[in-house]
Formats: sequence, structure tokens, C-alpha cells
Amino acid sequence: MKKLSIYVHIPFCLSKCTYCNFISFCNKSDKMDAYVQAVCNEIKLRGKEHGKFFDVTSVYIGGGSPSVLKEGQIAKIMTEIKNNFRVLQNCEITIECNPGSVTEKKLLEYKLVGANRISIGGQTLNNDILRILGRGHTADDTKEAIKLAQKVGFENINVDMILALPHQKMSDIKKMAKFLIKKKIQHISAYSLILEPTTPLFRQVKNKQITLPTEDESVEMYNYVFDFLKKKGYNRYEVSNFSLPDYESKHNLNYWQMGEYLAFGLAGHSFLNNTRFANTEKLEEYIDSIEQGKLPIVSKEKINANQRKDETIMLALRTSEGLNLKEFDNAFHCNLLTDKKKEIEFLTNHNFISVKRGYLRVNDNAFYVLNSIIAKLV
Amino acid sequence: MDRQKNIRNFCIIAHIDHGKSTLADRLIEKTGTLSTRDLTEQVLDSMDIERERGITIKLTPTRMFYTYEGEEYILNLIDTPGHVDFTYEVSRSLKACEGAILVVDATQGVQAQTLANVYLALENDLTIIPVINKIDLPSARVEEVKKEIEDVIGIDCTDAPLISAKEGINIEKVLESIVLNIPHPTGKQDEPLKTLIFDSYYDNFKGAVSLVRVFDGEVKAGSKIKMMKTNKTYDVTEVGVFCPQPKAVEKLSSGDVGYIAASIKNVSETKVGDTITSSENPTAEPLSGYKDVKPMVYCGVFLTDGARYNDLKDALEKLKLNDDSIQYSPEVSSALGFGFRCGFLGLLHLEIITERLEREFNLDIITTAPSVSYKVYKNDGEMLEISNPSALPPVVEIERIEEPIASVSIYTPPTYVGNIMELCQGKRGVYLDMQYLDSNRVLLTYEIPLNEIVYDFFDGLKSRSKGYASLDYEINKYQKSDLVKLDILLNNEKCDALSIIVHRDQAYNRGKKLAEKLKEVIPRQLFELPIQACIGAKVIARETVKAMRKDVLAKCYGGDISRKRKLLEKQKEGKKRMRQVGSVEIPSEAFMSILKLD
Repeated sequence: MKKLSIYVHIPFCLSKCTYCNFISFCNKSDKMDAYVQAVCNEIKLRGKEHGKFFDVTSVYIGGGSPSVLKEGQIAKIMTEIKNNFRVLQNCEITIECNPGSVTEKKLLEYKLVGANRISIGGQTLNNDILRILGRGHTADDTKEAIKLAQKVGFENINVDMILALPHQKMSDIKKMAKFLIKKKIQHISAYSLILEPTTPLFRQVKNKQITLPTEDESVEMYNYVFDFLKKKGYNRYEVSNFSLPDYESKHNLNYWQMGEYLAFGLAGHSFLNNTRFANTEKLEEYIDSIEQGKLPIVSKEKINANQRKDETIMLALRTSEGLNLKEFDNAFHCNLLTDKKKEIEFLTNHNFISVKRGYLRVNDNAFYVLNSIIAKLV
Repeated sequence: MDRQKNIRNFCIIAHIDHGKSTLADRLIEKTGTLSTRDLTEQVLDSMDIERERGITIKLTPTRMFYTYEGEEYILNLIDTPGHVDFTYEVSRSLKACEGAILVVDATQGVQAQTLANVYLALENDLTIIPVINKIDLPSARVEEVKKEIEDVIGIDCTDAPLISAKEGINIEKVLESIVLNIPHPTGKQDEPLKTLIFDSYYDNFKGAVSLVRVFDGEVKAGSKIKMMKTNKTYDVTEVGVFCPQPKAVEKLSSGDVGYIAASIKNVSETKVGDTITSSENPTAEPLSGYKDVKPMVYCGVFLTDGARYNDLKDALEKLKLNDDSIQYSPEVSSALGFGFRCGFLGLLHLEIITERLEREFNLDIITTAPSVSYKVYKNDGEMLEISNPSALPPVVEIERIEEPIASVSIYTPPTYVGNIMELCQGKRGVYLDMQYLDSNRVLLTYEIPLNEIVYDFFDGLKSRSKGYASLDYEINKYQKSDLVKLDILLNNEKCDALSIIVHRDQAYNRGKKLAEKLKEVIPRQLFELPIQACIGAKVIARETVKAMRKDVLAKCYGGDISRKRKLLEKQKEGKKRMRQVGSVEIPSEAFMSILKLD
């Protein structure tokens, strides 16, 4: 049986973060009921089409902030998934929570409908920075959310950290990393801020109202997190993802291993049968379309062999495991070691990559220039 | 014979920007050759580049009809370029004419090209009609300029038409003067055909078309003709005139200016300066023709996308069809791949040709630093002409190097003399003479090595004289000089496309600037990149591009993988524009940016 991951997008937030360019609204809560209903209907539509061909190995409800949904709505969505797809016993089910909107009651509800992993958007424990980013919660809220999740019984918790935030200091990073270790958080996503052109933060930086840490500082922060977490037994299994052994996120790994996935909800991007397709980004259009029994797909792209090849390299090199050369050869009839001999020699000599036991992997010290490495190999 | 009495063949000569093309427009308009509606500005400048830059590059003939005192005259105008680079085109059109209109800007007076062109016209025994243009401008100095023409050139200006081509003032006077003063052709209609090719171009339908001036005899469709240089014969398919669009006519007779098409495959067979005669009844002696033009400035022309080499080759072939002065031969660079070493008449010519390659043929061009042709004498007595720095033999084999020296005339208002002398001194110039032409203008004469002129002399001259100084130059000798090859090493590997030949005294300064500039334009690489400027094994300047520290997509989840792939594809696309020199990736722009170091 083929394996499948499911993503559900919840495009609602209490407030809009200044760096965020995801599709999410903070003033359309009146649409929540209709939206949840539409998502359930989309799951039904898709379920009829694909449900019986797949085993679902992971479900991720993200956003936006899924935790802003009213009580019972996550349960409704989860039930719909279980009714229409074959969700495996050991399926990883993650709910993303914003420290500002999550409650003990909601966490209990998630647990009851089978969620076994909670992802908390902490980002930073510096209240001044949280305020600049418009996060709408405080460091204490994050600490409280962690406490509640653990109290409710979640044994697999992720906390997000953003590096290279405005005014962020190395000491902020150290403090937060130490705190998470102390709380025995199993999984940490630590990624550098990406300045997206359409965001308020981008404009503020451009107008010099806000300054960001330099490239060098940001690299230092990242290296610190890597070294520190490694010492504490965390494995960086992907560029920005760290976990204790056996706590790697199955859902994330599926993306990087070119697995298939279906995404429900607004702006959801799916990958099935070598085709990537995306739902509309317009809330009303999404709801209307589903009401009329039509899938709200607005773009579809069949991935050809060359693109798949590039994507395979691009994604596999993000992981610490690296690219399985034999599998790659089998799939694309391409021996990368001979095809890219010169480049691989160059990268190996400069200690950027290593080829060991049939895997090509990027060395720890080189993850921060991954794009340049990938560009040489595709 | 009668017919020729009513023909006038003339050209317009002027310094660049003195209003040559505008006057041509007015003449065309006034004679009703084109209706005002069809008249785009500068009709004879047909290339986009010509109109945009406001300069004439190719000469273009036009036939106009003008009635004077009840008689109809045919006026054949041959427009000519004004820039020093294209002097040879001027001399070509002069041979087809009996007279020349000399346009002088009433605000600027006699300039470098005015004089150069007048001398050319005099060499060709042309009757010169001086015309003072731009009299409508408040700063016009009509009387002074008239006197200047009389003093400097020695042409009587008493009856010189005072005009404004822009405003259409006194255009009639010019036409009258053409009829009255320019001699009519005196060819012999009944003699064997004798025709000068003064230009040629390629037409997709007609083949190679010759622009001709018929001296003796006549030619029509069906005539059998012979090129006297190649002895090849052809059947004429069409003869015609330019009005200014090509228009077929029954025949061309002695005195006429027009075109001949004969299904000729290749423009190289219609060699400019050749004489066309009848193959059945040939003339005994060909016309004197032209000197072959020799390129002055050379550079490598390469592509950002090496795969289009054949397109570049085709494009150069096509351009050469219409511009015989371009020379090219294949060249291989370790940095830039396959390309061509091209020779041009001057920097403007180089600029225009590369621009045409980009625009008309849609090619992305990389040119290397312009170079001149050096004479390299080896110890074993052999002499090599070298225009490509990387072709220079090892120093130990060289006995001496000689470089071309230009004799340079600079016309400038006195205020800028100091600035300009400073510039010339800095360019290894040798002062020869300074003449006060009048209270407003000075003629400075220098000897300056051509390699200094092609480097950035024009820009320097313009900026130091607020654009007022004008320049003419001519190569007059080769001279021994202490020249060295300056190499650039990127990550300790020589990048041949960046090598230049410079005078030893300037090597340090140039090397330092080059290294600094490259540091700016080469993006950070995966490793620290040393940039070194060297003479032989000696490093004279060094810069370092720090290693790249951060180039990663922090977050990469399912949703946006398509977008990430597209970013990657973009990066891949960008890499195509990068040149690999050893392990270093250099953007194509880097090769161009070193052309302007100041």
C-alpha cells in the first residue's frame, strides 16, 4: 500500500506576524464555521477518490494558528480524516499551536482525537522582540503552553525558534535553547528569519526602521544552536530541524524524501502521482467551490523526470542522511558520481560534502551554504 | 551629355552633431521627395541605433528632384557619417560626388571632423559649399564662424547660406547653391560601362546589392556586367534609385547614382571600391577605388551562452556583408570559451557593432578589454602583429614591442586647455603644438599612444571639457615602448580574458584598479577567493573576496516545494551566465565592467 501524508491548513490567527507571508487572516473569524465545514467536505471529496489506495502515515494540522479554532473543530476535522482515509495506528498526528490561543481544554481535545505531537510557535523568549514581530503572545505564554502540553500528556513536542530576528542577541538564543533543553523538549525547529518581500517587516527593514543581525551574526547563532544541541544529544536531521533520537518528524521527512501528500484547505499544496497542485488562496472562493462540490484547484504542474531529479537532490541534501546514490541511480538512471565528477571532487576537496556508504551528504559545517552546493549538483 | 547637365551629385560633410542629418531631412522635405507625413526625423538614418544616438553610421543615397528657373534637376545626396571612426565611409561617398556641402554649427565653429572631412573633400577635388547652420540659436556667432572658415580652411564664405535646418530657414538657398555651384557630371554616355561601387548591402530577396555611381556608359536589367577585381560576371536583375526607398528604374546612365542587383549571393563579391563594367564591352581601366581600411581597435567577442557560437558566427557574417571594415577570426579563451577576435575602426564602431549583435541578432555578448595591434619583434628576428594580449610570446623571447602612435588634434575652448593637457600628459602624450584659432578656440596637437586613446580617452576628454572639446586622430607611426602584459589571477589561476597590455609605468595603477573592481563584481564564492594582478610572476596588487557564509533556504516544507524548485531553477539559469575560470564562477558582467575602471 502506498503511503500518504495529510496536511490541513487553518488560515486564521489572532494577529498577523510582521514577517509572515503565509495565507492567514486575523479578521475573518466569522468564516471559521463555514471554513471548517468546507475542509471536511474537501476531505470527503478527496477521500472518495484516493482514500482506499493509501495508508496515511502522518497528519499535520498547521496554519495560521489551528489553536484559534473553536473547541471541537479540530476534532471534527480529525474525525473526517479518519472516516475517509486509512489512518495507520502509529500515524504521527501533529497540531500546531500558538501560545496565545492554546488552552488546556483544546489540548485535551487534540489528545482525545489521536494527536500525538504538538508544535508550539514560541519563536523567541524575548518579549520586546515578540512585540516587534506582532506575535500577540509573551514568553510566559510559551512557557505555559509547554507546561500544559506536557501536563496533558504529550510526549512529543516541538518548539519553533527563529534566529536572526530584529535586535536578537546571542544571549537570547542561548537562554531559549537552554530553557528548551531543561524542559526536555524532544524536537526543536530553529530556522533563520526569511525576509519575505510582501511583509511589513520587509518594508521596515528596507526603510531602515529596523535592523537585522548581520549575515555573520546569523551564521554564528545557527552554529551555536547546532553545537549546543548536538552536545545535548540532539541530531540535526535537516537544515533547521533538531530532535532527540527517534523523534524526527515523519511528516517533515516525507516532504524531503519526495513522498506523496495531500493538503486540504486554503492554499494547500499537494503532491500526488508526480503532480504538484495547489488550492486557491481566496477564502470565499475556496468555500464556494467546495459548496458546489468542486475541488478548488488553481494550479497544477506535472513534474517531469528532470524536475523530479532536481527536487530529489534539493530535498535529500537538506537532510543529514543525505542522498541515497543507489536509489537515485535506480530512479533516474543517473550515476551522480560520474555525471558530476568534477563538481563532487571540488566539493569533497573543499570539505563541503562527503560520500560515504552509498550516501552523498552535506558536511555539518556546510549546511549554511546549501543552496550553492545544490546548485552545483543539479 | 545634355541629361547630365541637370544632375548634381553631392554629399554633406560636417562634424558630428552639426546638423548634417537634419539638413538632409529638410532637403528631402523641400524637394517633395517625401511628404511631411512620411518624414520621420532623420529619414536617412534607417537603423534604430542611428536614430537613437542621433548619429549616422552608414552612408545612404537619395535622389531628389528640384526645379530651378524652369528646369528640373536631379540632386543625388549621399549622407555620410560624422564620427572619426567612420572617416572611411565619408571618403567613399566623396568619390561618387562632384561637390560637398560643408555644414558648420554657428555656435561651435570649425571642429576636428569639419577639418578632417574638408581635407578629404579637397583631396577628391570636390567643390565645397560652406553652410552655416543653427543661426536661430541665441549663441550663434555667424560672422565669427564665417571668418573662422575662411581663416582655418580657406574657403570663401561671402555667399555661404545661413540656415537653420531645424527651423527650415533658408533651405531654398542651399538648393540653389547646389545647382549653381556644384559641377555637373561629365561622363561619356557612349563609352563602355564604368561604375564605382561605393557601398553594398545584403537584401534577402535581391541578394548583394551594389550602391553605385555610374561614370561612363549605362546599365539596365538584363545587362551583362563584370566586377573588375574578381573578373566575375553577372546578369543584372534590377537597377534602381533611392527616393529614399529603393525604386526600380529602366536604366542608370552616366552621372547617375543608384543601385544594381544581379542575384549576387555574397556581398564580398560586390567589393566596395571595385569597378563594374560590361562583360561584353569592358572598359580598359578601372576607377581608382579605395584604400583598404585597417582596423584600429580589437577585442574578443564572446557569448554568455556558449551554445550559440554558430549564431554569433552567422551574425558577424551578416554584419560584415554590410560593413566590410569589420574583421573577425575565431578565438578560444579558457575563460570565455569559443568566440571571435574582432577588429574595428574605433571604439564607437566597436560599441555600435556589439550593440547591433545584441539587438538585431538577440545575442548576449561579452567583450574583452579593447586592444590595439602591437608589433612584437622576437629575438630570432620574427615580427608578430599581436592584438590579443594572451597571444603575446614569453618575455624572454621578445626583443622589443612597438605600439601604434596616433597624431591627435583636439579643438577646445581655451578655458579647458589646462585640463586637457593634464589628461594628455597622463596618457603618455607628447606635446607637439598649440594654435589659437581665434579667441574662442585652440587647436592642441599631441602624439598619444593609441592604446591610451582606446582605453578611456574620450570619456576623459569629454568630462574635462564639459563636452566642448572635439578630437580627431590618425595613426602615424609605430614606436618602441616599454609594454608589459598584466595578468589577472583568480584563485591563483590565470584568467586569459582579463589580461591587458599596458605601459610599465601604468601597470601598477591599472592592476590595482582592476583587482578592486573585480572584487566588487565577483560574488562571494564557497571559498575565499584571492584576486591578484601580476606582471609575469610578480604580484603587483591583491584583493580578496571573502567566502560566502550564508546561502540556504531555512524553511522548506511541502507547501512551497514548487516555489523552491523554481528558485533553484533560477539559480541554475543564473549559473549559465556565469563563466567558470578554474573553480571560480564569474558573472559575465564582470568582464564588461573592467572596461570602465574610473
